Amino acid sequence: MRTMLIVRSLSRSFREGGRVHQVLDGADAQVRCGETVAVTGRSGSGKSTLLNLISGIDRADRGTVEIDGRDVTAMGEPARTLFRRAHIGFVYQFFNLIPTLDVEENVRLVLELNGARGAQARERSLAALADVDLRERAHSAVDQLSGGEQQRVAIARALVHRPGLLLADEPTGNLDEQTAAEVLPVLLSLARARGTTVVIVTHDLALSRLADRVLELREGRLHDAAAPRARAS
Amino acid sequence: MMPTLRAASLRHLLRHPAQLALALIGLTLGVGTIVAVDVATASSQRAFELSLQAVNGAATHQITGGPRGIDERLYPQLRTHANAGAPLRFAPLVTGYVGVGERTMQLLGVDPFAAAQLAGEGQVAAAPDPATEGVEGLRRWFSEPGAVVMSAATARQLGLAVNSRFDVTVGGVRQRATLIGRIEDAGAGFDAALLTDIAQAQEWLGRVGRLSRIDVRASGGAPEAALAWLRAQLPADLELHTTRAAARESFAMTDAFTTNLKAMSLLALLVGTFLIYGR
Repeated sequence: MRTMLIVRSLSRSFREGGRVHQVLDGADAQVRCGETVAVTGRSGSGKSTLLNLISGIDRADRGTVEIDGRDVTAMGEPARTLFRRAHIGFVYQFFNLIPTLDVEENVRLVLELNGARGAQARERSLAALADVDLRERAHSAVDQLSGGEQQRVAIARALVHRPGLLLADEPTGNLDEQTAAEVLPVLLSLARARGTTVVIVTHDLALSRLADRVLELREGRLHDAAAPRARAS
Repeated sequence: MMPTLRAASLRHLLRHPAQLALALIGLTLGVGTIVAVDVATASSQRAFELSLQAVNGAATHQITGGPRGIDERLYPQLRTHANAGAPLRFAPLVTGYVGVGERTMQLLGVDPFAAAQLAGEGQVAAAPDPATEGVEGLRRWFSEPGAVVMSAATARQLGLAVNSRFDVTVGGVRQRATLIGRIEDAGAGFDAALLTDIAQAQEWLGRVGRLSRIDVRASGGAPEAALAWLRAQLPADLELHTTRAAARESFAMTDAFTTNLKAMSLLALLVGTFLIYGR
């Protein structure tokens, strides 16, 4: 199977006063197309830094990131922004929805950023909302939605432009257990149905059990963890 | 701009009307401050230019000395020895600052005959022109102690009519002055000028026998030779320089003031920005 993501010898350090804190120190990983990988690790182990480097939001000190055969680390800032916009979807812990846009507009914004306009963009965003069972809330204000509904809007927004790679940073971190149990299958089943590769950073053991593979980030490197015991249906 | 982004921005502004109003007020005040400072600076610079023009008149060059000024005996020597056909005209001047009420004015002690000659045809002289003033006016100019002339606009502002007597403060000493004439349509350059006879100015300023400067007008053909001759006549402690150079020095001095004002207005804009976006 084709490889979607290759991380090679990725290193990143931060200065804190006079000290250098080595967050990533030669991390390596490969993720196949359509695979769902959970990245676990202690707080401060560098999980979010890894996602930022993969998406090109941050720049590595050393090492490379290849997405679908393209070296993201070799791109300039504008090219990385355009690549990220077209090929990567994001789901965040705190949803990051725009409060002055309604539900449908939040989803449509991604399509407009990628050049789609008018009725076509509207239809696609409504279809994405239907996939997460929020078609009837399309014109609601986002602050009238529950946490679970907001995260489903965020999932629709992340997948509406059919990215090859979905990055999720603690997607259940702001949800109660029951809501998380409702939202996670939605995220993973939609991604699998579209053949989207998913990298999820999480503390949530339940979530990591639903992944195809678990990588543990420890001492700046990625290690294969024990195989997950369960799979999403 | 994309429709959704535009909608997001507009709705954000409309959801926070107080912030929008404050932002608009802040921007208006900031831009207003900068425009006001620019206008004030331009106006003061123009007024300064006009004042310089009024004080310098038609002079192309000036003879100046140190703080003690120039020995007044030099002036008749220059007039006497300058060739009759030489393209040089001279006018002596005594200047200083005096107080009239709450106002500070520049006292200009002039010789009206020399000033009129220097101004020449079609120019405004910084003194009553003997050719156009009445004999009575000239008699009072030369013979009446404390006789002064000022612009009609300034006289109106000070509430002075012709023949009014008023106090002039010179170096902390009060002197009695009489307004013997007003210059109509004098222009803004004369607003802060108080004209008097050169001898009167010397007496009030405590500079009897001294001149502040001698204005020179070089005209006609080959003025360079005449100016070279003039330079040769001057004692070592005196300088001959162009009025343009003197004006440049004055403007350089006011540049610092202008820069300060501009910096202040930009600072006001910056503070306004922090106040608006710091909320």
